Amino acid sequence: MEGRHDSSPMQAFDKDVLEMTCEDVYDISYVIGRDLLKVNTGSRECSDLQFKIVRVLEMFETMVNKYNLSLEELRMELENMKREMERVVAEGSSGDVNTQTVGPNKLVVDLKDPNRPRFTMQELKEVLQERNKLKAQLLLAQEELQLYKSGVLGSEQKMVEVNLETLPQSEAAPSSVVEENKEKSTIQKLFSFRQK
Amino acid sequence: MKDRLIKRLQDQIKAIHTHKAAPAVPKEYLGMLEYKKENESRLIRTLILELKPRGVGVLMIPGLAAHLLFMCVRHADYLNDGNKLKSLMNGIISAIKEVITNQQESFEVLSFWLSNTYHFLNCLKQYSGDEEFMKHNTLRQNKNCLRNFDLSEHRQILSDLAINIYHQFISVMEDALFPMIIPGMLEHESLQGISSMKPTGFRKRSNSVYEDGGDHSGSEPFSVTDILQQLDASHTSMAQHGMEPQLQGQVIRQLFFLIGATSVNSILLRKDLCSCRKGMQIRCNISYLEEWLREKDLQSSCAMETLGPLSQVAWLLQVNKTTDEDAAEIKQRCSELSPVQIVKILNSYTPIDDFEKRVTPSFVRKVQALLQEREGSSQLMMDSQYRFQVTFPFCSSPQALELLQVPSNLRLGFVTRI
Repeated sequence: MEGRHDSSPMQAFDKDVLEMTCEDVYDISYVIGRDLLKVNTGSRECSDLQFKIVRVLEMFETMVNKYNLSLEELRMELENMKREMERVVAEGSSGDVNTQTVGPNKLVVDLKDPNRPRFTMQELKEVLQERNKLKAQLLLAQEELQLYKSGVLGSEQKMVEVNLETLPQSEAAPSSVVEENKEKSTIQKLFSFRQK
Repeated sequence: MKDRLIKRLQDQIKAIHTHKAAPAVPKEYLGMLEYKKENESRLIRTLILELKPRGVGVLMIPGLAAHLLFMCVRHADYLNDGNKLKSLMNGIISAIKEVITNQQESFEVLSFWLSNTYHFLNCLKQYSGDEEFMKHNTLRQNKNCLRNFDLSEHRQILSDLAINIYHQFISVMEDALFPMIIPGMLEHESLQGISSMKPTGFRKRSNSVYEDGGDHSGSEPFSVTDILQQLDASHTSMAQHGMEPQLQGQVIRQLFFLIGATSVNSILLRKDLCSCRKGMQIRCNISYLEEWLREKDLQSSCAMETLGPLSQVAWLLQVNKTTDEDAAEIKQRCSELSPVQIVKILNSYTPIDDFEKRVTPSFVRKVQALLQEREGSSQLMMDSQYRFQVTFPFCSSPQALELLQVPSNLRLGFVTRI
């Protein structure tokens, strides 16, 4: 059995629309009905107006009902979601350590993978720079070889000066040995380098 | 221009074909509701058994359910179909009985059907064709009278049913009110400076004063404010169901009687209630009740008269009880109390402090002597179960049946307004 509202019927008029219930709509209906009776002339126009108001208030009743039902449904769903989330969080915190979650921008690497990345960007840069330099030197050397082949043998001025300091330190020793054998054969001359 | 004319003519032809011609004159209704015989049980189910006592239509138009039922009755009469009419009338009466039996604890349902049964009864009289009931009818209402059948026998059955509903209704209200009477009228002390109990003042009422079984064990005791709130709830409900004010008055009178009689009986049995202070408190509470009646415009209900004995008891407690003149005054003033009752109170009278004296036995004898001629029953207690006889005097309704429409939320689409 529906309980009684605990305020006078007039207070329904001051209520916030979104907090209304069907009971408030009924209170409003009673007050308006009573006031209409006071001004009722018994004419058809009055009666038609009265029933138009009935219709509008019935629509209002339906909407208030629907609104409150939807609100209730949403609340329940929210409750369910909250409980679900709590359950998942509880499960997660007490779960398997191997199943660690990975943070953003991270890469998981298998240490047994032979194709795993091993060098840093810096290392790669250095190696590439050295390669480029050696490549350039090789090209020059090939050009010189061509020149010598095509008849510019024995010319000392045509010897290629190379800055030994650009070469890795491990090769410094053999160059000093080469310098001592200036009277060597042509081929040796070709392949000797004047040390600066 | 021609195109427009052609279009207009085409529309009119279409309208005529679908019977939607714009009427120059609005349709005149006869004030009846047509239903198919096989839909009778559905009609009764929708308009009686499953009808909610609170809804937009029924609250806006007092007695709507009763009037709609009557419009169905009118149509069966108009068709000169005796079987249909008899079946309908019997169906209505059985259904109302069923509803009030199934929901006999429901204050709302009882209030609603007491009001509507009374309205229905009035309709049957107003449109019966009996001259005594036609005095306030408009010409149109006279035209709407029943033509073929006399339903006076059914009126008698309905009248008995209404009396039944009334008594059930009173019982439910009394059950709710009773626990409040002694604490509220007699025990609770709200007057300044003499309270031993904390006054409760205005207390927020629970959602339903009738669902809350009035269980106040462990919480604050009832005060006269609670009694007034309870009366308020009753009165509001009756008003909202469009109950005839005169019937409302009878209900309130019966309730006031219960308050008065219960209080008097308590005082007669308890010495602790027989003090001057109590007398003051009771008079104060009685004045609150009187004010409430005035507020609700119920003075014509004669409810205050039922509080006569209680009022006189309160006076008796307060007044001096020593001299011969006092004795004479008591005889004069306490006209509604029996000698047995007066003597009991005088003997039970308890002074609150040392300055006050008990009533002397000689004084009591003096009063007894004066009251000797008075015929009073030897019975000490008032009969608090006594019920005034309820009457349902004819009340004419100004409602024009041909103007009544059927609100859509009543789900009576299977019924046609004629």
